[in-house]
Amino acid sequence: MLNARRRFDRSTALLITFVVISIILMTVDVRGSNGGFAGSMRSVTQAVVAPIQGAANAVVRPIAGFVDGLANLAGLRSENAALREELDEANRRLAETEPLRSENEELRKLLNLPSVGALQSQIARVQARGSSDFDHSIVVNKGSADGVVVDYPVRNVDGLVGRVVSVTENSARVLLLTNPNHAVEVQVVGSEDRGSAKGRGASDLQFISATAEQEITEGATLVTDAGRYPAGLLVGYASETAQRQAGFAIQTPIKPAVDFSTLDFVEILFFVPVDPAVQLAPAESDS
Amino acid sequence: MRRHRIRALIAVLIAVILQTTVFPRPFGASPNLVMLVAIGIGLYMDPELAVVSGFVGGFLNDLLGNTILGLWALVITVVAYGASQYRRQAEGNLIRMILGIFALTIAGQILFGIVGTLFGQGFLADTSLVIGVLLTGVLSLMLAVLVLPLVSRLVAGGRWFALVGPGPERAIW
Repeated sequence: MLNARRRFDRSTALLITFVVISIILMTVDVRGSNGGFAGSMRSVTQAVVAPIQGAANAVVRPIAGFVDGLANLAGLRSENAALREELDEANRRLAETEPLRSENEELRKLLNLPSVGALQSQIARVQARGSSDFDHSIVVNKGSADGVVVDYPVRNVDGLVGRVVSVTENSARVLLLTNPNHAVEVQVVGSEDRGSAKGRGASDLQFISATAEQEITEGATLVTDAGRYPAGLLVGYASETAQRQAGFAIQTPIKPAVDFSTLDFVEILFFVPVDPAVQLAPAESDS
Repeated sequence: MRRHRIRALIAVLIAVILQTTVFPRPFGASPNLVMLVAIGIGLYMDPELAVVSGFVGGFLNDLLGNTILGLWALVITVVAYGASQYRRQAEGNLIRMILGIFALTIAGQILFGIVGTLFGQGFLADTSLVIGVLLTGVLSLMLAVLVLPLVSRLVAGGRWFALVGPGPERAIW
């Protein structure tokens, strides 16, 4: 009985000690600037664990694919039909926008503004995800050895994914758009309205604009505004119509263009924003 | 005893690697494997070992994630301690054990959300948080059917399907 009591006390003392250590760590991390002590520890750990994660990934990925496939089996047929329709619609739109695209390219050349397509980039594969559903970040298998640096934007075939927040030699951590501490400047296609799209975890992004004059209609397309990201990257679509109320900012949810739960390959754009003028990394080769 | 400690820490390390690798996320949520292993160690092994394993697992989770350093360490340490204290209540009772695991995973997620928000992480801004927390609890419970026997047998050196911790065990079958 006495022994059990002593053990209980020791485990309680250990608990209190570890809770205090955790609070100190959190305080140091929150107060530290530019990563600091915590950032250095994370980089070292990520560099050590990255090869193990890569190996584990090779084993787990087929199993994960199988489980996802089973979960989505019923919806595959209807999804296939919907995708065919979308493809037809996309081809039709592509044919319509081709003259506009070449006109846009010419105007950009005249204004000396390189387009997203002219940027050097690096294709990377998702190697690890956040450590929980609260952690909206991924780790990709390209790092400083491949020319990746902090703040480079990341996209996939559907649209903007996020931006690089830390880099090791062979891996990089990408903060997803859905992260509650992440916001991206956006503009509504077809209007002059601008605002920011803020992450809200698993929920849709939130569009907030204090300057928008027009109403934002459901389905409106939002793309990145020039600044931290290159202009024109697809962010998502307005889920609801929102009208400006006197004295209040327009707010409406945005359905992200990217499905963040199925990310596999992404493209890291070698884009270096310099405020206020946007400067681009030189395009050396297509990769 | 020393062998059990090493096994427990290896189990936690493997759980962290699997959790941060591309873990299956059916319905957009994933079970919390590291928390489950810590709960398993709390239920089947020494309370002190549970607290240490919880802290180590949580700290590694923090280092390999993007949340503030020490947040998962705090949460999983508390959950592991809770599991070790709950062991007596769950003794020999499968229903209590299931309810306990579910409650501990949910409580862990809520604690994470509250403490994270207090430290400026903005987790409570997520309007689908409640559904996400419940879904994670349910998925963790489903995974517990696989993980707890592994912890009981391979880490604690007990039976595959045991309902209690160290000492005399009562097998489910």
